[in-house]
Amino acid sequence: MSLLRDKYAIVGVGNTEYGKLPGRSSYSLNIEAIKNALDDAGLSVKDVDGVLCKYPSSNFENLYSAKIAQQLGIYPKLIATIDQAGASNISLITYAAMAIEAGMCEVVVCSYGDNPLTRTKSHYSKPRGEQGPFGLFGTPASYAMITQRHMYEYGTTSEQLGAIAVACRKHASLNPNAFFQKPMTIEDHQNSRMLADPLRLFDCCPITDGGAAVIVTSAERAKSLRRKPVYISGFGQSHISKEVPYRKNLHESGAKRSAEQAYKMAGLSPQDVDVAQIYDCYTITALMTLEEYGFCKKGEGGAFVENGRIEIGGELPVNTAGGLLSETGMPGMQLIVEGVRQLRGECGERQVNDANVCIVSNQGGIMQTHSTLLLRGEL
Amino acid sequence: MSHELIQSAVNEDNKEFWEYISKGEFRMQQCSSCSSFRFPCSWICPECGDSSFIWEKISGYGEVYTWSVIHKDYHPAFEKKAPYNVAIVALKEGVHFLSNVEVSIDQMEIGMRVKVEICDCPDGSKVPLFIPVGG
Repeated sequence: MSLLRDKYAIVGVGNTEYGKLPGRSSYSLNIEAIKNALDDAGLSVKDVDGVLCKYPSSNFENLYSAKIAQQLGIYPKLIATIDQAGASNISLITYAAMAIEAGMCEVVVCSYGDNPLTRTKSHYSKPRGEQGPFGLFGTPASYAMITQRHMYEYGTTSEQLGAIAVACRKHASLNPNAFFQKPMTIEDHQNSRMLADPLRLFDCCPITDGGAAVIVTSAERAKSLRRKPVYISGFGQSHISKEVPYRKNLHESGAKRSAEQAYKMAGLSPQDVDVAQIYDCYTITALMTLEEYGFCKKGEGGAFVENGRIEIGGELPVNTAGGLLSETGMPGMQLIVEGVRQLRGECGERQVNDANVCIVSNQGGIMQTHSTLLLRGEL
Repeated sequence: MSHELIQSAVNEDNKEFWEYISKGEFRMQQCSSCSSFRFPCSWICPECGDSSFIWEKISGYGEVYTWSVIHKDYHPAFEKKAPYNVAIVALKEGVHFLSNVEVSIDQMEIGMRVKVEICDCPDGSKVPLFIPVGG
């Protein structure tokens, strides 16, 4: 059995409001989320001895986690700010578990906050890599080129991608904190403007302000805390690293190898998963991740997501709070927070019955990085 | 304007690639040990790890591996050009290269055979673009 399986737990989760939050710094969004997560856990700031943050996507700056620790007023034994872009947040949790295992600290906050909607969206429209002279700006066209290739190789359709957007929106309509709550149909998706062929506007997540955080400690210590612990059963990472123009094939991401590590560590398989929180910056990202996580075969993702299969009540409920597409475009921590709440049975109208195993995916850049987390409610 | 975008893309590792382009030559690094071509520019061969290389001419022939369309004016150099295509070309030498194909969007398709053409921008700078080839 894996050394770390179920040995560490998420004992608190917290988030801010999501949307346009003028007057708020990225620091204050982190701090609010951390405070909420500590209150949730029944811990105080003074209990925290590790601070791990993902740098704000819209503002890459030095010593970010130290600034968060400064604002918290603590003197931690462990800090780091990591850069795997959208894969960072799950990886923060894995590094937290490893650091506690190594005896470096006991209670680690993993946090993310950013305010790109209010402050600057320029990060999302600058030349991509070295491709400025050819007019490749922003992220949509790169995800679109992956989508184009998936459609060419497997016959995936825009309507099938739309089914992912529709499912996320349906779930978001049951989430009072979601950025987009108005239900959407496949027709709405098909009528939305072309963003980067073949991706439409509703294939793409919004840019939003907000923050979310989780508290990681040992399963042993978790016993004496306020909430039912959610166990970290398995995790993995896999990083293709190459940018889209330099990748020899675009129909695979690092998701498969990342998930294989997580399944092996947890002693679980896709059949054991009750609910999935799958990174969906674009619909194609979620579709390919579902394939590579083993919920269907490679190339069959389009058929898999149709007919309500990924909606609550379906075979595999996906993104039960609305995902990046509808809850908030924030890069990934919100998916972990929702996974924990599902396994604690706190989700009200959007609760998946008897949810005990949740898989969460994070990915970054244009599928350059990937991380996977397997969570369990009861052992 | 294109000059500005080229300048912002040029760095210590790829400056020779762009210097050759400015002379109208499409060259890439070829490993002296295993003969594989590589792009982006790098100090070691991603195939074999050897660090010796030469700047060798590329045929410029290949086919469209995938493509998309930019609908928005992101930069003055591309003002009023939208919608325009971006395409990844799989070159005969086994290297992928992102560029634009000089055809209208409705003519774009995966598998289209193309050839490089080093084009002059209005401001005098040069960029390697692609044109369709028959057959």
